[in-house]
Amino acid sequence: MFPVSINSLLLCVLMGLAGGGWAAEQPWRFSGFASQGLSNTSDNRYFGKSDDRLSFDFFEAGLLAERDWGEHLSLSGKLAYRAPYAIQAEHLSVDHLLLDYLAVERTHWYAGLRLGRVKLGEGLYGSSRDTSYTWPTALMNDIIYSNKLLPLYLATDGINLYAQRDFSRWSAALELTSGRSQVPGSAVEDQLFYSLIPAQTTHTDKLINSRLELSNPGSGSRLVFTWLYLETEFDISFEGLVRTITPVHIRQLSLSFSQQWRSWRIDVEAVQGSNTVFASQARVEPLSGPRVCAIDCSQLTEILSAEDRPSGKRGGYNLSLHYLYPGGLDLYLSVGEHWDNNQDKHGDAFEAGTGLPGHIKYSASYGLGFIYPLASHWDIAAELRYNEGTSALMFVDNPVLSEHLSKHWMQTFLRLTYHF
Amino acid sequence: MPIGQQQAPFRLFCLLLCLWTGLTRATDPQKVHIAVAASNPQSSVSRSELIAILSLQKRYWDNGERIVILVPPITNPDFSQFVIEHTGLYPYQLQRRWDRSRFAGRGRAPIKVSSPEEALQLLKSTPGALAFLPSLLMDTEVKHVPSLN
Repeated sequence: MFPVSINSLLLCVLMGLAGGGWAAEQPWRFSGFASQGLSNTSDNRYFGKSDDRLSFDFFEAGLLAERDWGEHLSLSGKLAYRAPYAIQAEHLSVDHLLLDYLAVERTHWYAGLRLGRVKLGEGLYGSSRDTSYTWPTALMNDIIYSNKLLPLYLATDGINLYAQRDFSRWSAALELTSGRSQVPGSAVEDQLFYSLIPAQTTHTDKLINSRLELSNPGSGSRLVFTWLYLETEFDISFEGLVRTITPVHIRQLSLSFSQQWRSWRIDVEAVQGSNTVFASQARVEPLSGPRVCAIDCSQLTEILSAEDRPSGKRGGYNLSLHYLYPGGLDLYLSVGEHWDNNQDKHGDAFEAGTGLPGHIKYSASYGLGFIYPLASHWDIAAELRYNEGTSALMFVDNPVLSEHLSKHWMQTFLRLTYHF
Repeated sequence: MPIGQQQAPFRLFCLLLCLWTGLTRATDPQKVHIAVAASNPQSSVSRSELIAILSLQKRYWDNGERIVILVPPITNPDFSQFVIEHTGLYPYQLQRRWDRSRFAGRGRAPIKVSSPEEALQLLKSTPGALAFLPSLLMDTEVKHVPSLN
């Protein structure tokens, strides 16, 4: 996710603090987990080579360290080893490492700031998206919490301002985050131009994330608005074309609602986003022939037309219905859809214009699964998921140009977790 | 025999049963209650307040003191029963919320205590603390606070 040098530095800081003199005055709190998955996909690949009968590629472990200095200052850091995500350059990453300063506290409201590698808020569950055993379902839904963009939407090196106000029945929590993140090369390849641009890792020049949560604990309701805006640049260097740096702006808005009523809980989340490629600054020569059609033409057209305009808006929704048993069993059904272009939801125009299958432009999934605490430190989770379309798949696992992707495919996933 | 007279023994039995179960519940030494320091002016905790506290959303008492939550293991049957009765939530749901908050670096999870005695000691020494103690464990420095539905 991030260069190993930064990871090593942050890890040294974390471990140094853990073993330092401060520890003698007030103990650190450590928590951790390790998850091993067993997955199978009927055709395409998900979590590595999961089309090989049964795959054990999914493995994730994390160590969380926390410490308080008085009531206003605290530190929290999490080191993770994550195997299944081909999008990450390194298996080892520091998911977050932040100093939290509670600046103002009153009876009914408080405010503070976090500095360091801080989490981005996305939907109901985005802030702990990187900790598999806290997922609300056995497999995280790809509609709101895209696996493809996990490192991009997870955390940023910057500042997070937060405030919460309690009213008589409701409470409102607001967070504003800004910083700089690394965009993994495989994410660039996956999201924009596939294999026509050289492999590259870049940074976000500007990243702003805001999150507003309204909740009514007495009635079990939560409503969350999230807005994300980021600017980055890519080095577009097609063979035979002018090499240039092209700015790209990404916007994403999501709305989430959760309601619990007795043993039932429903989570509904919707997302809308757009990528704007500033083509006029690219000044590339027009491409022609079959090669143009061998890539994501809807986005390439933006470059070739040399106009600054947004690509088609993408969108999606996910709904999950849970039934909770007193013993800890959480049984659920989930359904979700995502499309890369609101004007061409099923990729028909894309298919007609490019000759490529339209199903690589959308994804729909229908899942049935459960999470169950086997013992106080052990959880088991499983899901059976039917998928249509392949836009949620990782390009690095499923290169479009070299591998045929199946439109209809099934996933079976089992995850065993130990946590403390 | 009139119908009313026929039912009299049954009514008496029901009345005694209710009294017995009521007395048993009221004096059940293992039954868990919310406990705070005797100096805490809080006289009761409403259902929505309790959910907000256990969901880590409400952080302060009305007197401005920060709430420090002391919880037994969620597998403790008396605690589980209390949580289900007074919040409508299952304890493992709370545990998952606490874990999400901690792993996001966004808050302090409740302090786990291994025994009621440890909870009592921490309650007496920690300003703003809230614990879940059985009836039998009383002390002059702490008080039970009713949870109002």
